Formats: sequence, C-alpha cells, structure tokens
Amino acid sequence: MSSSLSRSDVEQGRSLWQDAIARLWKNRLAMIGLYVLFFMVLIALLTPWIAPYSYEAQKLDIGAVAPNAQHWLGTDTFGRDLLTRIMYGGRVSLAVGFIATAVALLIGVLWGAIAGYIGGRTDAVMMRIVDILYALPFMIFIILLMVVFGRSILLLFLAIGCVEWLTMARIVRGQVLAIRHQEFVDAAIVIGLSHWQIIYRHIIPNILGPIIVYITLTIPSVMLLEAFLSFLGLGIQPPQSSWGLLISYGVETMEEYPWLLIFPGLVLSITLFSLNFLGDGLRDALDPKASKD
Amino acid sequence: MENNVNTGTAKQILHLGNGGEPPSLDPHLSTAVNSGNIISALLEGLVTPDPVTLKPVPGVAASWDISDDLTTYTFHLNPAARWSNGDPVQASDFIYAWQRLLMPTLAAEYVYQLFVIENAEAFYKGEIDDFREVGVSAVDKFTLKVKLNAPTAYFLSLLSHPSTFPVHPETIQKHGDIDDPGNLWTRAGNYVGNGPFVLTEWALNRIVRVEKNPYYWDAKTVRLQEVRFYPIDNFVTEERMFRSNTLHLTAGVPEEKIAVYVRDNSGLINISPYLGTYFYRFNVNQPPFDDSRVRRALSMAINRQQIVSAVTKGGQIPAYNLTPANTLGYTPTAKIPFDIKAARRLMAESGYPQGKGFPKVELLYNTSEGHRKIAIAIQQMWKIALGIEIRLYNQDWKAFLETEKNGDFSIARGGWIGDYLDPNSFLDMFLTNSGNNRTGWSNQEYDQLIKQSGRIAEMDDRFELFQQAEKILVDESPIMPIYNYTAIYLKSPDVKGWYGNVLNKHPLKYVYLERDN
Repeated sequence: MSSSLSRSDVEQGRSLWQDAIARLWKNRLAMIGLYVLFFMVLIALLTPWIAPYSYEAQKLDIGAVAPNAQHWLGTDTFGRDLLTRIMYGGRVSLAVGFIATAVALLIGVLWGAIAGYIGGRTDAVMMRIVDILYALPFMIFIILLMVVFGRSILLLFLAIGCVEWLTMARIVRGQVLAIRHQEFVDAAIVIGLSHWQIIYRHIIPNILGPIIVYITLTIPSVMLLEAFLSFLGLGIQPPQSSWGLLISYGVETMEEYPWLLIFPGLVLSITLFSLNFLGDGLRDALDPKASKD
Repeated sequence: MENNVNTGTAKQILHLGNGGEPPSLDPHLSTAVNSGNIISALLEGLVTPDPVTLKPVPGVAASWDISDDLTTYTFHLNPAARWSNGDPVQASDFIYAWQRLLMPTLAAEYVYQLFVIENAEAFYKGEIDDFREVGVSAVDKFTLKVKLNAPTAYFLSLLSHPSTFPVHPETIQKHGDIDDPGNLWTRAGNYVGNGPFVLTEWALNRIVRVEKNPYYWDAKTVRLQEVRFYPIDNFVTEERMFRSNTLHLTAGVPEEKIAVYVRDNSGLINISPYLGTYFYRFNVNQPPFDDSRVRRALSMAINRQQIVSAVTKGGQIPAYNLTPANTLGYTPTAKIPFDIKAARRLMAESGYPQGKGFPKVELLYNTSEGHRKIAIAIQQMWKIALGIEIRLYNQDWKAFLETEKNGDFSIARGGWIGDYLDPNSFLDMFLTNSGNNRTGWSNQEYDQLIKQSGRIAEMDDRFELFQQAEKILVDESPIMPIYNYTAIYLKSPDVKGWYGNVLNKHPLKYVYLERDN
C-alpha cells in the first residue's frame, strides 16, 4: 500500500542553530560584516605569499612617499611599503584579537558559569578571586608576566587574555544566576542530566547573547591594548608591526605624511565596524526568545 | 591671549621642555644631561662657564691663583656666596662634597674625574683612610687649596661640572648618610643649594619647578623669577606644546618637522654644532661581543651617512670615532671604515659566516621616537650586510640607565655630551675604573695613555697621546660611534640671554624673557 503522506508534507522540526543561521542570513549588515572579516582573515593568512613587498626592506633614500602606482598606499619614513606593512600588521592584530579573546572567553565563561551554577560558598570564593585579580593593576600584572617569562608574542596574547577574562566571568555569572532557577533548568535536572550537561546544553546557549556582545567589545580593546604595550616596549618589536602600532606612529607624523595614519586607521575601523555588525546580528540571531518566523 | 608663553614672558617664568624625567638631582650621582640642566640652576661650583665662550668665570670662587708648576690651585671664595638657607658657602663645604664624591660606598659614576687631585684615587680605592691626606684643604674659612697630581690643562673647566659642585653638609646629614645614594635631601623642601635658583616642586613625570634664590650672591644678575622644567620624552608632544605656546623652549624637534621649520619658521628653530657623540655600547663581557672582531664588523657594516641624511635629518655629522672633530683643536685621525666586505670577512673569521649561528641578541634603547628610528635602520643594515637578526627592546630613561649600569644588555644606545671643552671629557669615559664606561671594556695601554695625557701641559703633546688612545678605541671597538650631535631645539623669540655654544650649556642666571615689539 502506498502511503499518501510524502515526507515533504510534514513540517520539519528546526534546531536552535538552524533558526539562528537563517536569521543571521537575512541580516544584511551582519552578513557584510562577516564577509569583510572573512576577507581580512583570508588576506592575513595569505600575506606571506601575496604581499607586494618585504615588510622590513628599507629604502631610506626615498623615505616617505605619498600613494602612487608602485606603492598603492605610499611608504613610511623608512621607505617601506605601507600596504605590505598593513597586511603584516593585520596578522598580528587579528591574531591578538582572536587569540586573546578566545583565552578570555574560555576561562571567563567556564569560571562564571561554574560559579553561578554551583552558587553558595564556591561562588563566593571564586568571585572573590576575581575581585582580587581585578584589584591588581592590570598593567603591572602584564609587565610582571612579561618580565618573568620573557618577551614573546604568544605570551603577550596569553597575558592579555588572562586579564580580559575577569569581566567575562562576572557577566556570565550574572546571567547564569538569572536563569539558574528557571523552569527549563529544573526540568533538565528532573530528567536526570548531569550538571555538566545542564551547563553545556542549557545554560550556556541561553546566555550566548551577552557573551557575543562582550566578545565584539573585547576584540577591539585587546587590539588597542597590544599597541599600547608594544609602544612601551613590552609587546611586539620593530621591524614587526601591528595596526595599533602603525596608527600610533601615524599620529606622530600625521601633518607631514597623513597617509601613514589614514590607511591603517581605515583598515582598523572597517574591521571593528564589521565585528560590531556581526556581533549585533549574532546576538539577535541567537536570542532563544526570539519568535520563530 | 592667556597661555604659558604670554604670561610667562610677562612674569619672567621660563617654561622649558627638558627631555625625559630627570633620574636624579644629586650633583654627585647624576649622569644625565637633563638632570644636569636642573642641577646647574640649583647649585654653583667654584667657577661657572661663560655663556658665550664657555671659559671659566668666577662662581663661588671670586678669584684663584695657580702655582708656577701648575699643580696647586688656591681659590678665594666669595664671602657673599650663600646657601639658600642663608648659611655662607665655605671652603669646608667643597671638601665635604668632594669627600662624598670620592667615597666608594656612594658609587658615583663620575668619581674618576676627581682622580686628578693628589691621593684622591688612593682614597677611593681604600689605600688611605684619612681624607686629610687627599690634596684638598681649607687654608681658612674662605680659601680652598687644591693640589693636583700633575698639571691638568682642563682642571678649571672641570670645576663647572656638577660632579664637582658643593653640597650643604648639614642638609645631607639631616636626611641620611653621607654615602647613601638614596638620601632624600634632593626632594623639594629638603634641597638646600647655592645656585641662582631653589627647588620648589618636583612632581614625578610632571614638572620640576625652581624659583629665584634671594640668597644667591649674584642675584641682581638673575632676572628670571621662576623656571619650570617639563619632563617630556616625546619630541612630537613637545613640538605641539611649543606650537600652542605652552613652552618657551623644547629639548628637541621631531625629525619630520625639522625641514618644515627650516623652511617656514627658521627663526624659531636652532640647529648648531653640539659637542657630543651618539654611539652604541657593546657589552664586552658577553658573547658574541667578547670578540673584538665581531664588534668591529658590526661597526663597519652600517652606513652612517645614510643614517644622518635619511633618519636623523638634523645636519648631524657621521662619526667614525669617539671624539668630535675639532674639540679644542683636536681631531682624531683613527677611523672605523665603512666596509661591508671586510665586515663580512671578520664575521666569517669569528665563526659567523653570513651570520650563521649568531646568537639572539637584543639592542636596548631608551624609549624615544628618534632612538627607535635609528635602531630600526641599523637593525636592517646589519641584517642585509651581515645576515644577523637583532631584536630591539626599549625601556624608559630611568630604567634604561639602571639596566645599563648593571651590564644587563648586549648592545645599548649611548650618547655622550662633552662636560667641558677638552677631548679628555670623551676619552676618560672608557678608562677601566670609569663609572661611565659601562661596556666592561678594559685596556691597560689605553688607561696609561689617558692618564699620561693628564700630566702634560703642552696641548700638542697631549693630543698625540689622545690620538694613540683613540686608535686603540677604534681597533677594539667597545663602542660603535654613529654620529656627532647637533643641538636642535625650538626657541621662542621671547627668550633672551640664551647663547648658542658647542656644549649647549645655557646658564639660566643670564637668561631673561622679553618680547620684541
């Protein structure tokens, strides 16, 4: 007997993720942001093969020249091609942005979720630790780390991440406290899920919104922090560079050689805007309370 | 309009950019030029430099007699000279100060300068304990007698250098031990000086403020009521402050702005010869720089002409040896060549062909845009010429001096400004026991030549010894000379009594502010 019901007549259940992706897809600004970021990351990855010049080779005799046919974005005071330097700088800045934020995310979310979920004395102890670390002037903390373990880029990433996780932990804990005693968590406990599963399957997805917003704020701030530390001699050192450093040196010569400030500034701004658009889009898309359309 | 320059000029308050934060205001412990600028306003030695010719003119000493054999100086102190608390400046104050400088426990970098005095070195080395055996004594309250080991042509000029300035004994005793480098007497409120100005405020990284000293013996000459020294180590910031009329004078000018000022505002910018050499120190106690061939190779591989024309851009002169040309008529003949091929050969001989196996070394400089640029250029020159990778590393001025003093570096930026007009001011820096050596380099023959030159009065004979010493310095290359300074700064036309001279010394007692109509 042939069935009259074909599969296509049944409305498929859609997961949270499918919904989210569908919603994100429709958000034009967020998608533009995503494409731009993808483009930036792609360029950063391919830089060693596609960069037009060497990032360190100097032509002292020509010095700083305005954008022209050979050097599309001009050269800096050492006669180094600015486009190449921005491309290489992007590798450092994007890496710092993503790695340091990932470190902050990993520690912060786990710490905050555990503290908020378990509550009681554990919560008190964990959050006091956060308070104490907060009270340490973070510059001194980073400088100490760099002095004890030596100056390396990877350590710089970790050091910044280790400082940035504190705020993340607080935000996550607050959110967890807010949903900890809602019915769906109780339901999850009743059906016998382990604590870890509850945190992982039910709590974290429900607080993704604020976390993502915070990520989009953290990435630009760590990029600027890196520039600041490098300027003090604690971060990356010449001839390497990053967007933040290119900008801070560009500021010093902006009256004579404005392109040294404009182009790195433009690239950084575009990246940060893209991050913000994408972050906004993701927050809307991942909001589990958003209505299904 | 209300701004620092306008109100300052009206009220005789000079606003002065002074480079970075002064590491110390103790005349015996300071080695930095920016500290010296302030100390020279707060204290006065036996003689002071004439603002135009730099010849010694009376300071605390109203007059002096020199014995026929040129080894005994008798100074007649001006009885009107006063400390800023009203006490008279006495011969015993100088004896106290020089004893302090010579104490090994104070560990003053400049101590070697006083070794020209009889038995001073023996006292420093602990061979004699009684300071009365040292060749300096008070004939009476206002007469100071100094016996030298030998005729020392530059001795009078030396006495205008801060390390030979007197200090107020009671003040030092009150705030700590005589030989305690951390003595708090240099704080504002504690400081008792005998110079044209008194210290009224020292806010870290913000300002050093000095006011006219009413007790100063020559107070009628002093027209400035107040001087404010701003510790700004960024020339870009300084230049902006100058343009917004916040400063009368800057310590320097950003490289990019030099040409702009020369073209548009040549009346505001000063570019003049400056008796100083910019160089890099090698730490000769550590591999790979314990091998003089490596040091020479690095020194031979850089294009100094290109550095001054494309990086520093301020009319500096490439330096191939330590002492600037025509220092009191002396021009060193030994030169480190610019020869990349020979440099490569030397590297290969020392076991680093094409830079292979060269250890990871760092180049340390104090945080400043100008030093950074030179370091970047040299880093790349070495990479291309010798195939070696040098990492750059910067620290702020105070930390930098400390790191350098502790020998905790491989290559460090250095610069030396003549303290007085004599080649000795450069060459005695690399004596074995000189606190300003800081490379760990020691050469018996060099020490002998410099010491011998101090005992000769005849200039040509001294210069001959300097030439030999300079040759050793070039052959051994504990340092890599880069360029001879030019004094580059911005000056408001209101500033008067400020004369250009090769030591860039501007005794503030002669400076005043007046607006031309």
